[in-house]
Amino acid sequence: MATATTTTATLLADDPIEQLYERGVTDGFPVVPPTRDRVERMLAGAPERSRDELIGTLGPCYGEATIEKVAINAVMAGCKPEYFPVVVAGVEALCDERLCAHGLNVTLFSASPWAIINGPVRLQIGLNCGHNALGHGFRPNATIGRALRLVIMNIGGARPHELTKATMGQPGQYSAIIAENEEESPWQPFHVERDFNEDDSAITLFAGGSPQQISDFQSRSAEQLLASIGFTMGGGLWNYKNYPLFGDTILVLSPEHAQTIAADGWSQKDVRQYLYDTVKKSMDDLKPGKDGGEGFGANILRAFENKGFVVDGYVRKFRAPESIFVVVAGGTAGRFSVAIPGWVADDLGSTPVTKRIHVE
Amino acid sequence: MAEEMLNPIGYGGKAEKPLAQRLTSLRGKTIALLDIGFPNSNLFLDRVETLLKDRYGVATVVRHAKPSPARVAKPEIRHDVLSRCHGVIEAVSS
Repeated sequence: MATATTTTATLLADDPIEQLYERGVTDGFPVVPPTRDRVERMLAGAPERSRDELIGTLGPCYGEATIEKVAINAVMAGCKPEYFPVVVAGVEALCDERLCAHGLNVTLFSASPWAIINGPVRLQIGLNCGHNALGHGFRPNATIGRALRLVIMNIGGARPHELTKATMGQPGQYSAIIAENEEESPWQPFHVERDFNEDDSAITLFAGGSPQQISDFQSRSAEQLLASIGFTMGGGLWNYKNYPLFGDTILVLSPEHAQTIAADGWSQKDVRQYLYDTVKKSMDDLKPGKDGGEGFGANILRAFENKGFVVDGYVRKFRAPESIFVVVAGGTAGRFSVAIPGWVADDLGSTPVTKRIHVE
Repeated sequence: MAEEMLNPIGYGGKAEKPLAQRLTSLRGKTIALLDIGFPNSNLFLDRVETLLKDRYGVATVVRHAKPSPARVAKPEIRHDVLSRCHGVIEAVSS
């Protein structure tokens, strides 16, 4: 007769979920066992794609992201087949050189790909764009981002304590999805600003850090509200010395905040321009020391001056209006917005990438 | 019988690769210093170069730099290190 210990060990050895833990292919949560039947059903979610088609390679190990490998990871993440075109488009963005996924997947900075999803696909697959938009509770929001993380681990080869070296990490590494609340936005959808049509579906990957909540209950004009938002963005994104911030930033406005701003006739472009123009600090405040913290050395501040980052002795927080991406998401009640600072951008690091989602 | 599970891994071999064979001596060798782009790394590497030459008899120090800490080294840098250097020190500072 087997002892209790032996019985437990046998049960665990036979359990596919435990086997997948043993193989080190999970993100820490249990994964759905990728049986052949489940993978076939997932592949049927994107019938126009061949299972052997190579989407691209993904650093740091430069594994091959074929449609079938991506489908296996999407099954493990818990995706439904109808989510698969979104995952495939997300992997296309991950493999795009401009995103700089190799660096993003291994950096000490705790960045992770944030996915902004737009277009009809949101409603077709039930992405949550309303209350708790950036939080838990909804299968597509939870599993599409999770599938991208599993692809990064199992195809890119980026695992913590191995090649992933993020000092702190962040909860967004499990799944970081922003489905725009286009129905409650006073403006054109985010992907239309990026040259897609309103009836296209698209996913934009952005190398982002942790979200930082901003509250303002009282302001009733665009200028007053954006002064509050700019104050928070000016202090909280990265640290005190990051004038200018060398990353891009997502500003997720709640519908109430967006509508307050739009009621004064302001567009997304006006929001970006206002924040660019008004969020700044005196050069004197940015000198290293007990007042300026880490600060910048005199030679760097002089270089900023030469590059036009300094106006009348003040350094701008944002290096360009276009480095701020304005998205509307969240519930219709609540005067809370969120800013998500990016990892280093452009030639130094990552450029956000938008891909079309091919849905029926 | 347990149902077959498909393999999610997309890369060959292990993510953790074995270290290259260590050099037994630095004397007379050509060593590359790869500056990964953090602040003050040039100052730090100047000192490392001096020590490598004066204290350990390194014949030649080759200096390379990544475009930024976030970006990978360009292929021509990897090729140069592989073709003419006995070792490389990837160097961080702050």
